[in-house]
Amino acid sequence: MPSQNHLPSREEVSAWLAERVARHARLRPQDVEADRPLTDYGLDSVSVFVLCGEFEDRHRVQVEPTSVWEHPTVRTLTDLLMESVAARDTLPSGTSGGDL
Amino acid sequence: MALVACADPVDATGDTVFTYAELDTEARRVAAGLQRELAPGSRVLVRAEGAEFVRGFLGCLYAGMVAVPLPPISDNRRHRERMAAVVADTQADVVLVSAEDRQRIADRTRDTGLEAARPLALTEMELPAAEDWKDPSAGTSDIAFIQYTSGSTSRPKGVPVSHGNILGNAAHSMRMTGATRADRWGGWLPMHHDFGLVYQLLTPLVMGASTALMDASAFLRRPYSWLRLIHRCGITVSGGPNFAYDLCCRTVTDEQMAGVDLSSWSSAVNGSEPISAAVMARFAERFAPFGLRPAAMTAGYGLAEGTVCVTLSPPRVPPTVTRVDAVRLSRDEFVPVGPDAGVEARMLVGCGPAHTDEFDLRIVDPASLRVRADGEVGEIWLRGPSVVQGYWQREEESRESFDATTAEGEGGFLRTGDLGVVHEGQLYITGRIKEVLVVNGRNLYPHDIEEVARESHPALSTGVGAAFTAFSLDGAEQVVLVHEYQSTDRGETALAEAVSRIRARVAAEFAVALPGVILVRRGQVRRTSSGKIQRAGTRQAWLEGALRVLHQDLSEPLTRLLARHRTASEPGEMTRR
Repeated sequence: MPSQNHLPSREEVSAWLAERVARHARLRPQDVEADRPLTDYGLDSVSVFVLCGEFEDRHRVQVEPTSVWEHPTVRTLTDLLMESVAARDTLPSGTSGGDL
Repeated sequence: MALVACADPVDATGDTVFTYAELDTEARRVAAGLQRELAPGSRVLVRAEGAEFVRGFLGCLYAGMVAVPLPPISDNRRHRERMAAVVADTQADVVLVSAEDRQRIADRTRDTGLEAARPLALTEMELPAAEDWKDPSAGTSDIAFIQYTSGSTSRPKGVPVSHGNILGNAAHSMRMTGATRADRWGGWLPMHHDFGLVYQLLTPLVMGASTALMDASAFLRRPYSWLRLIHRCGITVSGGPNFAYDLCCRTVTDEQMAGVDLSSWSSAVNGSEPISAAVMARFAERFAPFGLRPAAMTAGYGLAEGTVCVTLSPPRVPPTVTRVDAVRLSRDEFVPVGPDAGVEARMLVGCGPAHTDEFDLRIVDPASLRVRADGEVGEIWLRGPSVVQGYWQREEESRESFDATTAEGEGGFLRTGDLGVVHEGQLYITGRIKEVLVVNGRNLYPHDIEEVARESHPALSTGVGAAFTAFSLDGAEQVVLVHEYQSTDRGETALAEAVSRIRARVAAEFAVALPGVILVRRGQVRRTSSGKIQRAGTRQAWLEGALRVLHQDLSEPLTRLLARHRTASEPGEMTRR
């Protein structure tokens, strides 16, 4: 479990996302294509909520599940997640989802 | 104690606790405030969560007004369209909101229809004293709230639930659950859905028990938080749709369960979408090390038109699971088979006693309207005090659905549109004739999905499609779309690209996956002579291999289902009882 304040690299976020999508679709992470729509891998609204929750717990940021549908590939969603992590430290403390 | 509203399911410091006396005072004050502004019987939209929702909702009931719970305001265009249609259908001119929701509503009501309604923020209204409240002397047949879970995006159907429906169904649920006033209810189910509003909130309140509420989005983001809430509040009765149990099995880790004890949980109800025996067994096994008792697992059947709860499997024993021939079941035949029968079986979960004091139930042949015998599949018809009067201001549809008469001449039945069978006294749900698709506890309408699919790709724009669900062999409901494809480019790449575009568009609009997409030649989607799409007919043709398929892309469970059907459809397999 990375520390909440650790600033992840783009590669880390992208690899984590591919791993989560692969687990959902029962594929190997290397078989998840960065530019393929996540819906091709069977992601639905519930799995997207869980994905957001996991990312929030790891990186102390809030991600709106609805915004995922505007960034529906591993590559574009990585961009979105990187932006929210970058914006994290400008947020007042206590606005993000809690960790366990 | 009556109610705990949990801002954070895993942390007690965010809890707001109400005793019955406090809830009563709050409801009187909100009601008195409403009575200053509106006439009895007015519809009042309620858009809030947790404690604010409960205050607003109970205030409407105390005021003799009709509450209309609304889902959260979404950025999704379809959700906004639907909300606008609901607001218009109720002709409400006031929306009760929490202070937090007020600004959000001011910013985001565009296209939701809410801009026409006057927002009243509970915390900003100068509420009168509880003594100013005037008892509207509501009777049992007066409408308490309208539930909107039926109907398509553009044409939602409201289910008006009376005070009498609530009282009767709450007592029925308590009897079926075996719960007492000492029980603690609770969970994450949303209040704009009957399972949340009636089963999780109103039933325990009516019966003098207590309930603990958390937000649905907290559960969806962190499924373990539901289980931690149960532990933290000592909850005994908590339920959810099948997908919630599946989600916990798939995502909750042992670390997240550290220190969690589920031994208080005596009734874990699985209801409101098709129940998978495999999921129930997996859940019981997964969480047994954390104190979950197998006997807590409970299977239920219900619907908003019947207030909420029709039947529940008996308390203190695990539900009965019956093994039936899967292929015969797809032809609406219920044939129990032994484990050695050598046929593909489906495990059906018994939902409890078919015949209860609250519901007079018949299984009826949907074509001939003849009552069917035990062991025969047919449409479930219900009558009794929990069945609502009809749809809100839809006379014709109400007559068709709520005043059906059997061929034998018994009248006044609700046609549920669900298929079931009575076997050894228990009700089993086997399928559905109404055209709604149930995905993660949410109702979707085939017409809506077909429309979006048609717009997603030029090769689909001149053809028609049929969306339906198929039950995989483990009982999970999978959405399938068969669509006509017209283009000179029928290469694999082009076809696969079309499938991908359909999936992306449907997901963007409805946030659901399409596990099965089948592209067919023109004229392959089955239609009546008047051009009406025959979804069940198209499904049957697909399963039997009678469609001329250009390309299909199926999830693994659907691939298995199809393979099983094709082998079973070989001649010589049709042996009748």
